[in-house]
Amino acid sequence: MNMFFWNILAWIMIAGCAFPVCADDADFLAARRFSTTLSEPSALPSQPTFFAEPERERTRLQSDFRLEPHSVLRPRERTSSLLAVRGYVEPRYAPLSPLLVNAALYLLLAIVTLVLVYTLRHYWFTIDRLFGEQRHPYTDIDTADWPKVTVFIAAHNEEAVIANSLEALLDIDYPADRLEIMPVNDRSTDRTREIIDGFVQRFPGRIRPFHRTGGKPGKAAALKDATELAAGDILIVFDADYIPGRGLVRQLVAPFFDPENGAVMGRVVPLNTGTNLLTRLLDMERSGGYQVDQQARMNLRLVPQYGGTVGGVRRAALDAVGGWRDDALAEDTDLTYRLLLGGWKTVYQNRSECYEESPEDWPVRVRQIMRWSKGHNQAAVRYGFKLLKSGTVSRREKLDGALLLGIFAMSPILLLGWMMAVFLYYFSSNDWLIGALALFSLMAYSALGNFAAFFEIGAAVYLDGSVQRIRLMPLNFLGFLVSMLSISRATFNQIVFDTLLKRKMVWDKTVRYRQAPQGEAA
Amino acid sequence: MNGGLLWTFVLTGLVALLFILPMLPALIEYRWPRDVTPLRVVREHDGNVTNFANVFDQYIESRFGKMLPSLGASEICPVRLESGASCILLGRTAEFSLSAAEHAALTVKQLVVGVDAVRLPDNVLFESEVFAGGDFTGGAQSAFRAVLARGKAALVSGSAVLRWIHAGGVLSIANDVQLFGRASSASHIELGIGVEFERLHAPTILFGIAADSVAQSNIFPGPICDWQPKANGEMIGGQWRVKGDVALPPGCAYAVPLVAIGNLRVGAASWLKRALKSNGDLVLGDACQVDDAVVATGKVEIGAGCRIRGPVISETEVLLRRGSVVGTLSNPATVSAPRIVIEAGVMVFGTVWARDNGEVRAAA
Repeated sequence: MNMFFWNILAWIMIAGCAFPVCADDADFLAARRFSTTLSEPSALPSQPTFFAEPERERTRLQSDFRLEPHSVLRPRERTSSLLAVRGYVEPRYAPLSPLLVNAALYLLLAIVTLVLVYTLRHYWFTIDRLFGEQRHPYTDIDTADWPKVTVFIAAHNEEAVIANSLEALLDIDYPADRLEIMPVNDRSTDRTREIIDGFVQRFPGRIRPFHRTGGKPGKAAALKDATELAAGDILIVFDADYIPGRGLVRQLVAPFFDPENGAVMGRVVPLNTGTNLLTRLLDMERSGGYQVDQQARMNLRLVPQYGGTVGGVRRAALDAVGGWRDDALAEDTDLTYRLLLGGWKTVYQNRSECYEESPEDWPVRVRQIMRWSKGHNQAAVRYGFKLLKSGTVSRREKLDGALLLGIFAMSPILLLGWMMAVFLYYFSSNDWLIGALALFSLMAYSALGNFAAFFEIGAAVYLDGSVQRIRLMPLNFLGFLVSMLSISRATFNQIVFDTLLKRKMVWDKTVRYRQAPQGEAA
Repeated sequence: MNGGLLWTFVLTGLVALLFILPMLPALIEYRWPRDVTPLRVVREHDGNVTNFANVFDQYIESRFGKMLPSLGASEICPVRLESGASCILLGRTAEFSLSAAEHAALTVKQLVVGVDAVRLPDNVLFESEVFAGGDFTGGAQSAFRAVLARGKAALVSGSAVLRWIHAGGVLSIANDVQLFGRASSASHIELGIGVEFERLHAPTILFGIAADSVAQSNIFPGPICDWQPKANGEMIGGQWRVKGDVALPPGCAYAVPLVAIGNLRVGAASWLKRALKSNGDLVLGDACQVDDAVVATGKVEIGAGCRIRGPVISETEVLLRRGSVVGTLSNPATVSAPRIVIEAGVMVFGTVWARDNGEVRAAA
């Protein structure tokens, strides 16, 4: 499974539509085969003539062989009022009604159009990132009267990683009297509490722990409770497996000098890149997502996304949009859109980098992407319509915001498109469909097989200066395929089980791979 | 094996090869990884403008720390470094002089390390770093790759610094000097008219003036204005958001942050206690005081005699008119924009960072 395969598949499908193997020509082929047994082969026209003049050829075949009026070999000519297509033929014994076929064709056309839009979006972002003017308006602020900041470290059973995170934060370059470090220990059952308390004793007055023993599960719920205790005007959030650099908090706080900014997002960089193929693929995927996608949205004044970690939010903005929503599956996406609708901007800081640990096992990755997918879809349902009718959001932000909301929905839609294309290919087709199939094949190829998304990742890896790893690009299709199927599965589950059957959604924590240091609390 | 079967195998093999060939780089990189290290994130990076100077100072200390005190007062000692590059050590009273080859080429390739004050000749390009244990004085029309002076440093007219310069004392930049890269001082920087710069950092930076001649104009804010936007304005999160262009009347005090979706013009002698943001150009009238940040996506023009306590940020250009002051000694601030034009008589406490270019200009 690679892009080369899709290259071949695309060309086979295009060629399949250009040559007489489509169902709409089946009757003619049958007629030709039938005719060769009755007449001299030399009497048959050559293939190019057959295609160049189908109407005359059909008439000639019918007159030559005198088919019975109701013969299965005789095609019917129709004119579709729906599609404004004249003179196309359809099989006499088509298994689907014309109305159904037309509806399916329109749906396929819509899917093709959507794929095309997302493909163009990938191209636009990548070209902007490579050749456009780059916006980093706040990275140069290095001396200022820094505001009071609370740094949350979201932790649920994080004994393996919490110590590294706390050590890094204690070494941060930020005025100590304006920095409040608050580990948010959310109902941990391992040694997380013990480790945090050990740090509190070792560094008196530097850490203000929040041990949560009950309440609603989930990061958003924990942050909601912690925020009530926080003293900072700016709230910075790190997951417990993140190791911030010395200048990171200042870099993340700098954009808040702009009163219009409600949230900030830094760049996440995988630390365990070399563990296996999955981590290497995720490293490239993350690179594409941040280095190109997020930065391009920042450049183009679109909707950079607050990612829930290595990011922050202005306390006043958070309060203005109703605080953390503890029923949100993806509190980051949820907050991004509430801030956008509330008139606040989210800023992406590409140079504010922080290491994270990415999943090392495919099942963990599948669960992670399924959780993201559900959260994103939940936000799409909640805010999609509000966004489109908002009076405060600019048109370009609306367009990008809507496309961003729909990005996880595209996986099942694309899967549906593929299935429909194949289905219609065999059960009904016409001249119009030939074009649609070809276009869809090209788009599918371009979007997933090679150019658009891969172009984005390739550009990101190039910008990062990682010369050799770019060779792994074709294998990324494996990651895309797994993601597409996982997201489709999650969407199906969300619609059928979570929504229709009212199944309770469960928070799924990402597995950590670092080993817990023994005796850390001492 | 008959011919048909053979050709079938050959064709199958060729097709398989055709599939595998483009995959080979990926498969090789997967099987024998060459690029698996995480992207480099420098944890220690804290954005300190004096980083290069600090690193160079540490190098000088570690490499020549024991050698320099033992150098005779007028001694000039050439040293070959481990890298193969050459270095010249100057005693306390020794004067740097060009060799014949250097004189002919008007270029000095060696590192220059002076125990105390260092004075360098005119019209020479110094391709390596220069270190002065005391004061440093550069020659006219000379260019320096990088300079570190533990005492005062002075660049005379027409000279240039290509990468960075740092002084432990006052850094004096005469008229028409070009500063590419960073210029910093632990004390203060004085810049003459016509100086071009990129990044400046010091507790106090004086443009076109000497430290003792700064006029401390006083702001007398008027009454708190009960200002509200006439239309298209709404209060969001304790801020005024106003669509379209906004013009604030002069002589009033405003206590609420203001975000204009269009251009923003503030009348003279206004006192703004909170931040200002314009999604177009922002013009601050003369003698205004802003106790918070001034931010614009377009051009920012700060009128004469204004006081800004917070950062001044523009995505295009900042113009600071004569007599305006940014930041305070206890609360330094940053002025940041791709292009910055500063009139003589301006004082900034903190950092001025022109991403493309900055310029000191005579007051209009």
